[in-house]
This record gives sequence, structure tokens and C-alpha cells, in this order.
Amino acid sequence: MLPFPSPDVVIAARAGDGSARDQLMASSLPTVLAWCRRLGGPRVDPEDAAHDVLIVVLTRLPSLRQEERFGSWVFGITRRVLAKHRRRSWVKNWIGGEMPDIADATADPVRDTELSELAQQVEGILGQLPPAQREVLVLCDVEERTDEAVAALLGVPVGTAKSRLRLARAKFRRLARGRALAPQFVGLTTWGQG
Amino acid sequence: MTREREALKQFGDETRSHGPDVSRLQERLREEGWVRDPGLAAPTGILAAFRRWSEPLEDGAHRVAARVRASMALGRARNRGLMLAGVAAAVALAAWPRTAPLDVQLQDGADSPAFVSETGRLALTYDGEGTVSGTEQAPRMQWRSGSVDVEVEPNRGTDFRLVTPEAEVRVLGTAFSVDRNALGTTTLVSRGRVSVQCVGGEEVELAAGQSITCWPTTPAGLLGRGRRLIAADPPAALAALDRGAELAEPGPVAVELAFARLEALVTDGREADARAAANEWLAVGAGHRQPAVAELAATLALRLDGCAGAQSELAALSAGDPLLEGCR
Repeated sequence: MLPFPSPDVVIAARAGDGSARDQLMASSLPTVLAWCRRLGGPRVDPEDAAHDVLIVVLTRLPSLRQEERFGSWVFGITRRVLAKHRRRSWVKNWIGGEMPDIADATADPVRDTELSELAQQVEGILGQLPPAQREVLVLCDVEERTDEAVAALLGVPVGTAKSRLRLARAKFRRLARGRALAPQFVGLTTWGQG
Repeated sequence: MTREREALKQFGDETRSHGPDVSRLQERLREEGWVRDPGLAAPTGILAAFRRWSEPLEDGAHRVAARVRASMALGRARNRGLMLAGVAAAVALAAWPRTAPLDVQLQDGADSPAFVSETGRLALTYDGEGTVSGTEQAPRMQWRSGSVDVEVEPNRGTDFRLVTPEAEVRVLGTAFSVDRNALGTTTLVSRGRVSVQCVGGEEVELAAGQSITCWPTTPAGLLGRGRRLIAADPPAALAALDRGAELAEPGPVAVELAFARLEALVTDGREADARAAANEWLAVGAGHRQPAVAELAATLALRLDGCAGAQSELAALSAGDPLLEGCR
């Protein structure tokens, strides 16, 4: 699980401490970038989106009242920014503009060749899930956060998070079977493994 | 009772009534989420592959951080009212972002040494002087002095060119820095590929991590490069000074090039060559450097051959010179 800054750092950054703001950005950026990549879908440039999220975070930081809920606050901003970027990408599609590629999709050839095909299929399946299920599946099963941590990030009761996760897993499984992922998927989920 | 136990109890009831169809029930338990699915939950499954693939790369985070800093710097400038004119122009031109003209003066020592074009295609962080013109689609930059980090948003077909007196740098979506100083124009590519053509040279293509320095093209510029390199790299200094001497017309710059060449020879440990060059130069007249060159030639002669061997050089010194007195 990727880290967030401590409440002390958030308080100092909110008060205008330059080094605390740098620290806050440095510790939040990997998490935000990962969210943008995992939740944005193939048509959103994750670096563009992460940039916009960080701008909003830094400019609206003085309005944050509960520093202990910084992670949840950032997640909410990320969700809104990604929705905006997705809308933009559809508009661009309709008017025939240029479509961004994922910025780092080919940055590491080894990683690209080994993981890209399977991961992009997973990305496609995630894109077919309802947003709430996609979020909970990514936060729980991709980023390995606890149910309680995910519930806190999403601002919902733990039971709701678990329920969403259950539905998300079931739907993910159905969609995976509908694709060519079935052999790998079934092989990895044989009863009794793990 | 846990959910799993409830499910198992139900399983027992069903097996009693329908017989033990284990595989069907196993499947149902997984489908309904009663049993934690190792393929989804464990990091060894396909979601783990997705996680590794989607893990943010360090350079991506650095790029975003740099863009955020530049944007924030731009925002502060805007808040201070320094960018009001630019904002008004950008709003007016928002409908034509690809052809929106750029006209920006980048000043050394600016409060906010960063520039991001309205469409975000071009981001600059600078410590020097230059101008940006052209359009959002085809920005043209004249860089006069200092260093500038350039980031051109990839995959948007932006045709960016940066020109200095020594080099033209062309790029289609990448990040690089340009530093123009006494040594010339150095281009360092941090991401993507960049084409650089030094004035009078071949066009070369640089990949990430590669750099090239285009030398100054004027005698005065080559003199500056030579002087800068004398202490650190005398052979490189000599190369620059020799090229400057080839281009220089007779005059003060030519004299300084020749004098710097003597310094470079001495620094390089080639004292005999320096002595010979000094004497050759004295024979045709060393201009405003004549006394200094004579002094240098005599010093080198004394060091190499002692008083007896340095008579001709000592004779060129004016009466009362300490070197001359030392050999009496």
C-alpha cells in the first residue's frame, strides 16, 4: 500500500510551510499517479490527471479541515478529476481530436512486453465495472488495502465496502471469463489454492 | 455465526436434499463472494500483474512533480497580476489553441521562472533569457543565455524548435534541457528523442541520457570557451582557441586568442612548445600583449635552459626587469 503524509505534515503544509508542501507532494504523488493509472482507464493520460489532482490538492489545501482524512479527501479529488478527464476524452473522440496514449506505456520495454497484454485486458475489464465497484476492487485487491482502510478512503461504512467488493469480484470474474483470460483466470482460482 | 459457516450449513442442507454436488456449491460460494478468491485477493493473480504494470515509474512521478511546480509558479505569478495580460490573451484565444500565437519574453531573474503554454503542450523552467514565439502547435524559442528545461507534451504533434547562435534543437514530444554559456550550447535529453544540428555541422539524434555541446561559432565565443577550459581541459581549450584563431581577423580578439593559447600550452605542461610559440609570435609583433609575451618567453627560457640558454629572450626585456637582473 502506498503511503500518505502524516497529519503533522498536512497541518504544516496547510499553514504554508514550503518544505512541508514539497514533502506532501512527494509522498502523495505516487499514490495519486497509481490511482490515475488504475482508475482512469485507457483513454486518460495518468500524468495529466495526476498533475491536475495535485494542483487542486495544493490550491485547496487551506480548506481541508480534517487533516486525518487527507487520504480520503485526495481520493475524492482524484475521482472528480478522473471523471472530468474521461468526459474530455469522449468529447475528443467525437470531434476527432488527438487521443493521448498512456504516458509510460512503453517507457520500460521489459515491463511492457511481460505485463502489458494481460494488464491491458484487466484494465479493459475494470473499465466495464461500475465506478464504485472498480474503485473498491482496485483499492482492495490491486493495492491490498484492508476493508476498513478502503471504507475510510471512500467515506462509506465497512459493510458497504465489503458488499461492493463482493459484487465487484463476482462481476470481474464473469467479465474475465468472457474474454480470453479464462485459462489464466481459472488456473489461478482453482478451489483450495492459495 | 460467520458467513462462511452459514454457507456451509446451507451446503449441508442442500447435500442432504440433493446429494453432494460439491463442485456446484464451490462455484456458487465463490460467485457469491463467501469464499475469498485467491486469484483476486492474492498478489500472484492477474490483478497483481495489473498492479505491477500500473505501478507508477519514478521518472513519471518526477515529470508530474516538475509540471506541478511549474504550474504552481505560474499560478503565483498570475495571482500577483504579472500574468493578467497573458491570461486575457489566452482566454480570447482558447477557441483556437492549436494556432494561438505565443509571444513571451523570458527574463533572467524573474520572480516565477516558469512558463506553461495555455494548452499545456509546452512547459519551461528557466534561469536565463530568451523568447518564445510561433504558435501552440509550432512553438519557436530563441535562447540567448543561461539554462532552460523544456518539456513538450508527447503525442500531440507539437513541432517545437529551440534556436541558439550555435544550435537548432528540434523535438516532437520529449523533455530536455538546454544550457548556453561560455562553452557553447549544451543539450541534454531526459526523455524521448531530440534532433540537434550545430551550426555548420551534421544533424545528430540524441536519445534519453545523451548530450551534445555545440561550440560557439565566433572568434570571441571560441575565446570564451577556450578560456573557460584552460584549467580543466587544456587540450580542449587549445582546440577551441585554434579554431578561433583560424576565424579571427587581425585585431584584439586574435591577440587574446594567441595569448590564451600560450596559457593553455603552459597549463598542459608543454613549456617548450609555449616558448617556441611565444618567440615566433614576438618575431611578428604581439600587439598589446608584447610585454607580457616577452616576460612569459623569458620565464620559460630560464626555467628550461637557465641564464645561459635564455639570452635571446632576456634581451627582449626592458632594462631593470627582475628576470634580467637575476641573471647578471
